[in-house]
Amino acid sequence: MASGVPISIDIALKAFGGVPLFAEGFRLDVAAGEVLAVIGPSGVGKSTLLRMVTGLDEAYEGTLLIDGKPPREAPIPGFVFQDPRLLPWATATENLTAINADLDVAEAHRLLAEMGLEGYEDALPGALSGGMQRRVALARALSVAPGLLILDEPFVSIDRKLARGLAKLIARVIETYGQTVILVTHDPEDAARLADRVVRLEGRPARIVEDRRIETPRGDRDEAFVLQETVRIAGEETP
Amino acid sequence: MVPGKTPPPRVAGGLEWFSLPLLLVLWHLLAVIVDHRLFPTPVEVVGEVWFLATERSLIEDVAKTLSRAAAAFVVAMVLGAVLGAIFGRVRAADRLFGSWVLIGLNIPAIVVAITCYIWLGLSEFALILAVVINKTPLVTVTMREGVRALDHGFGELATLYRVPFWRRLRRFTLPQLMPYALTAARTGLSLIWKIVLVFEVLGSDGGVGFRIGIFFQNFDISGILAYTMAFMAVVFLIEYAVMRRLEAKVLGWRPAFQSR
Repeated sequence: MASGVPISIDIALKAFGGVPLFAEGFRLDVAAGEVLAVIGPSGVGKSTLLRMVTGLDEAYEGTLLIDGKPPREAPIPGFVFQDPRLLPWATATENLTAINADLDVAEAHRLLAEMGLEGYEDALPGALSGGMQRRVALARALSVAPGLLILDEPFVSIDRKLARGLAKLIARVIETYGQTVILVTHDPEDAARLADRVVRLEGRPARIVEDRRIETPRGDRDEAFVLQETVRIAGEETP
Repeated sequence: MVPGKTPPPRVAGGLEWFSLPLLLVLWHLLAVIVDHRLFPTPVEVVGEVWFLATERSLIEDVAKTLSRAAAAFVVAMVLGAVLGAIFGRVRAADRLFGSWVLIGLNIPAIVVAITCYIWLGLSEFALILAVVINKTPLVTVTMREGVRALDHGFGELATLYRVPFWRRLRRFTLPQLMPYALTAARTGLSLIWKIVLVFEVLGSDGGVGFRIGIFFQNFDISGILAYTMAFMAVVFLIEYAVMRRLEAKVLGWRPAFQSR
């Protein structure tokens, strides 16, 4: 697994339908191995930012570098979409090998087992619960040994208990592999649980209205701390 | 069973096995009631099948018709799939040739057959070409809809992970198109059988349609039904030995299929 990569974002203009989503002065640097949570209201451009970072959206003016390279030339990032986006005709194992021809079945099984999916290697997504599908999606993202892991609202549409379990799993993955992580979420609790740094976007064009670090190591964050931090992050939201 | 593993789809329900015997019983009862030489019982027709197969050219005729249908089917499926993919992806092509497809869908098969026979003579090529012209628009339209319905999210996933073209086609695109391809194949097969037979009646040197035309001239209803029964047996063989298995293999993951 590759270690974390630094990211440098400097957008001059990104418009959608004539409306600027990001404009001159939008700068964001993410250090190698840092876990950055991007929060903000719906439609502020969080997902667009992710699409630009992955190279899926190249229609912008400015510079975006992953480990010093444009996104399309940088190593493939791991991406967990809002929906698990698993191929419904492929088993859990095949969902991993479909995107990565170099991944052998044994390695795919190891990754699935690491996600707590031992015994479900040959299961079709339709036979898995929502939480299990997310874990397959996470295993798939990790299967490319990414230096950058992108999580786009990974806990949306699943209940709180499942989300907590998945967050713990992601925290363990981050501690184990040390990738740079960008987590987009609308829920301050996700950020409080996982992030080293929280960036809040607001306005149109989007600007960074809050950028602060959470100094307490992830391993030391108990439920009381997460609650306290969640309230703090939520309290800084613009009403 | 592996936890979470989907149970194998139940292709045929129990009732399905009673369907054909029920039809044969009804036919038999009706024939006994009507009691006329122009309405033979299924037992008499089976006897006729045996006679025509052992003493006459039933097997050669069925083989000839099948080979024509198979050739037309393969060409129409390939051509229709390619055209459907182009029309589904390129809006300009769809706009430009959409009317042609509409004409192809609605032009009477008999017109195409007669035109091909007049222009090209009563040849094997003319017959197969006429069938292909009749069938291709239907495949094109079905595959066009399949291409239009491709999930953009999976395309994005493949792009993000830089999946090479052929792998993307095999692992991401074709599985989504298979339901459409199977629909096109199934409707295509039934349509092609019928068209080939009509064209063989119209002009050919053998085949099921050609022989049925001769039986018609002689008012030989047992011969007509014997050829029909033999042909239906082949259709059932293809349905259960090929189509159903193929369907179970490529559509087994679909909830709708699993609940069948």
